[in-house]
Amino acid sequence: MKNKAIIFGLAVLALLFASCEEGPSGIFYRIAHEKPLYENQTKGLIRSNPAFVARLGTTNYLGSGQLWSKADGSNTWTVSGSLPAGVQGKSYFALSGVTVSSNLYVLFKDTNAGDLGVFSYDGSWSKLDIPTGQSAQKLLSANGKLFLATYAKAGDDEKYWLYYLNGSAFYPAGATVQGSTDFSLPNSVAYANGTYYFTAGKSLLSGTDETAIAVVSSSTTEPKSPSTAIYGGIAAQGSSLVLSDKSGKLYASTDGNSWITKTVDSNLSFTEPLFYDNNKLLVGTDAQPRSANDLPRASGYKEFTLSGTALTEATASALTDTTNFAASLAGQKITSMALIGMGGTQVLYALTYGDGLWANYFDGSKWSQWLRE
Amino acid sequence: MRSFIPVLIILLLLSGTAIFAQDLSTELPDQDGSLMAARQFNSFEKGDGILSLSLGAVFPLGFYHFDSGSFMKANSYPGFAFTISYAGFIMPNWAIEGEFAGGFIGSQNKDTLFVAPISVRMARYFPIGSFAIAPSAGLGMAISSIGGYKHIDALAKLGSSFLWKANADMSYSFKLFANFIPQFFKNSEQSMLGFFLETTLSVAYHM
Repeated sequence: MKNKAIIFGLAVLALLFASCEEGPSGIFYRIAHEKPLYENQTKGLIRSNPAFVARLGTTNYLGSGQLWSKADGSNTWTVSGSLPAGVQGKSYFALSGVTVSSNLYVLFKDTNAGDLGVFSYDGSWSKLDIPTGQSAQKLLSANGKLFLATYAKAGDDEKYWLYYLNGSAFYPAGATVQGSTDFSLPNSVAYANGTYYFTAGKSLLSGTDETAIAVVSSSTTEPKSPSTAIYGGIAAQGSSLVLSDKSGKLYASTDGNSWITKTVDSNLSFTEPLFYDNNKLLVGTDAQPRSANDLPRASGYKEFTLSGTALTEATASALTDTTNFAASLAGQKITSMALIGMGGTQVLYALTYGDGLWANYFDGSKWSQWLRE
Repeated sequence: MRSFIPVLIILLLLSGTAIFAQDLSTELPDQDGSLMAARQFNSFEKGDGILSLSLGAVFPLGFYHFDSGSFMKANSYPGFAFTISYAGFIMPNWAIEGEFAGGFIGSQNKDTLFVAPISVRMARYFPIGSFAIAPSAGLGMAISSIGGYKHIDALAKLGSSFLWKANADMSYSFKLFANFIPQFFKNSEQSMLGFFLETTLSVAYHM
């Protein structure tokens, strides 16, 4: 009886002092130190799933259902009143968008996921010719070139195409990346050492010319076996390349041939990496299921420093502190991040799945910490 | 937790209905004609029990930061609180009370801090006619949660219940309790002591 009482007492003590799921910040510490993050929020973006941000001139554009814009000096986003003919007056989604030189390119879909078209904007809208019989999915840009990824169902298979823009029409970006089942939707591109690299599901595409992109098939030049994890994305800084995957790994290379693997956390699923401040790397995490019983943990993003091919996880960040991170992005699924220069200042955006858009402004000397847009 | 609250509210309403029903029956003169006797608290005897359901508010009072030795303002908003407690009398007017409570506190950034204090207290009941005052103090554990993160900590609870006997079986009470929750983290910079005030109104069934 006495032993039972002791065991019970110890169990109670263990329970009392046990901790579970500690966040990046202490719970009371966070409450006591929180600063308002919602002062400039745009109501229509709360709980949204933004798809892209891009900048043209002195205005930032956002695809979050509709096309939104925010001119420099404005506090909130407004739904863009300027839309191309063929989109204006319709229910639409701004699915993908990028800026290349002095043009904003946006892919618009109707509410049945049908293509309304890809349009360029430089003060007025122009429609581009896109391939027919396929569904346009993603606009990508690197090295001043615009690429379009499409797909079509073929029986039980999904076939994918990659095109590049030449003039006002899209042309095949390589003979072997047309209607192929060897790769999935290209979702990320980087250009380094005179070569384009695309992540496309379990495959990597590359080519030294926008007309000669092909699936990387050699196991000596691909950082992992294609049969394992799915790539999250790729980023380049100078000659350095960093790949991420959905099993919590990063791969770094300085030549695109020899890759160093860094296993960060197998419970994480990484999205597209992003460089800022030269050698600092941000990698978002999502919670995309890897199998029926394998759901990765949504943890906002991870920050690393790259030196050569060595990636070191940051223990502190100039972007945020533990309280701000805990109150903003710590538990969120981040679909992508973007760094946009605004004259002498910069803004870093985090696009989340279901928690809208977050921004972190650099005024030339320090970051604002994360604020809800 | 969300489904638990409506159930609690329904139970409380049903309890209130029962009280009013019993009020009517006790208003009728009983055999010895002593209506007042039913509304008097006699001394609480060993073996008696009181089951209480309470609803009210929780007020975050502030936080003490161990590392800096400074007291910080609450930086959060009062919220809804509930408690379920049982007092078992182990000797005349002395009871051991077990309580499960919960409070929802709004943060600066629209998140909700949920704090669930679970305590065992020693209470002394002072009957004064139709009223009783029952100061109590105890220890327990508190589960805190915000944004998917949880922490379990020790708890000290101190306060008093003020009861008014409605009839032979039921009483209403006002409860005022302070919760002290020390929260320790591996990074001592993050460790804080939280102060919370619970004010609730309850219906109690005398068993």
